[in-house]
Amino acid sequence: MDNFTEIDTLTLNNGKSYIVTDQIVIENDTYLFLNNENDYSDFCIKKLIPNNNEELQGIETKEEFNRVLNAFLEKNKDLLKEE
Amino acid sequence: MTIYDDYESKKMLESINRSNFQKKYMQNFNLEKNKEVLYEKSRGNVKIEKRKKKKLPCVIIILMVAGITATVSSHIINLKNDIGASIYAISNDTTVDDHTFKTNDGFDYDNKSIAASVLASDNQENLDIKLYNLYLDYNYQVIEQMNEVFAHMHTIISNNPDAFTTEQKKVCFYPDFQSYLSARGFSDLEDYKKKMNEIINIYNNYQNIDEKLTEEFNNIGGR
Repeated sequence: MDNFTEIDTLTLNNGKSYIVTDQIVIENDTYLFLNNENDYSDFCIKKLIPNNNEELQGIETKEEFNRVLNAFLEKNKDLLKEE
Repeated sequence: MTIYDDYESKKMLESINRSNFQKKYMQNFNLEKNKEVLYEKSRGNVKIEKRKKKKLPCVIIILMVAGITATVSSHIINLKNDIGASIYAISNDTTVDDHTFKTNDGFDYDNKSIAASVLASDNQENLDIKLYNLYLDYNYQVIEQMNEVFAHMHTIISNNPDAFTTEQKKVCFYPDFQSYLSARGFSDLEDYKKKMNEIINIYNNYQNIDEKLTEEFNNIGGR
């Protein structure tokens, strides 16, 4: 009954530690959903930069943001119905 | 500015703990509203200072994913209540920055020590009442101060969960003061003050019950 999973946590330059809750690939871009480890209601979405392990890219436009968020909601729609 | 200064947030908090239908509606409302907040937080590049692997129960990840769609208040709190015990068991490496809350006038509160004293079992005073008294004691930036105390309490308990009662763990699981208030069913700060004063009156009467009984018997006479 081992229901544990190993996840990545990232400490960002704001000093806060974030859990990588989920990741989604859209058109070759990988987006990370990050939850603040000390406050799960604090979260953000960042994009992996290819061949760069030291930095994450921010969302650039509203259109990109909506596209990622909708993909996330679509991916997890079954989970959300459980509430 | 606190969440209570915002009219929509206040109305939202007042709606918490009502019917499931309302909860569902409020979640959708929150999602729409907080998409803007999420968008702002998601902009801009950030540096990764440290990477770490950590083991978490799968259910926590699943619930956090669900939580992203309903970013505020009751939904998040309910999720946290469901998974609270598990988190305490595995989050003992969680830390809060060791600093005091500094203000422009140079006067600091040592909120880490204050958090420890709130959790100290040197007397039997109810934890909620301790927190309320603390809330009254702060003279400025009260919400921010209380938030910091909650963060420190969370860390203290996470570092040694066996040393604390279930009730203490429940209270300290909330990430901040507002979450605590919402979960306790206080609609706003006025409601908090009103209800806590009522509770303290009952508490004080209970504490003085021997004295009151003696007084009543004396009034009856015959002694």
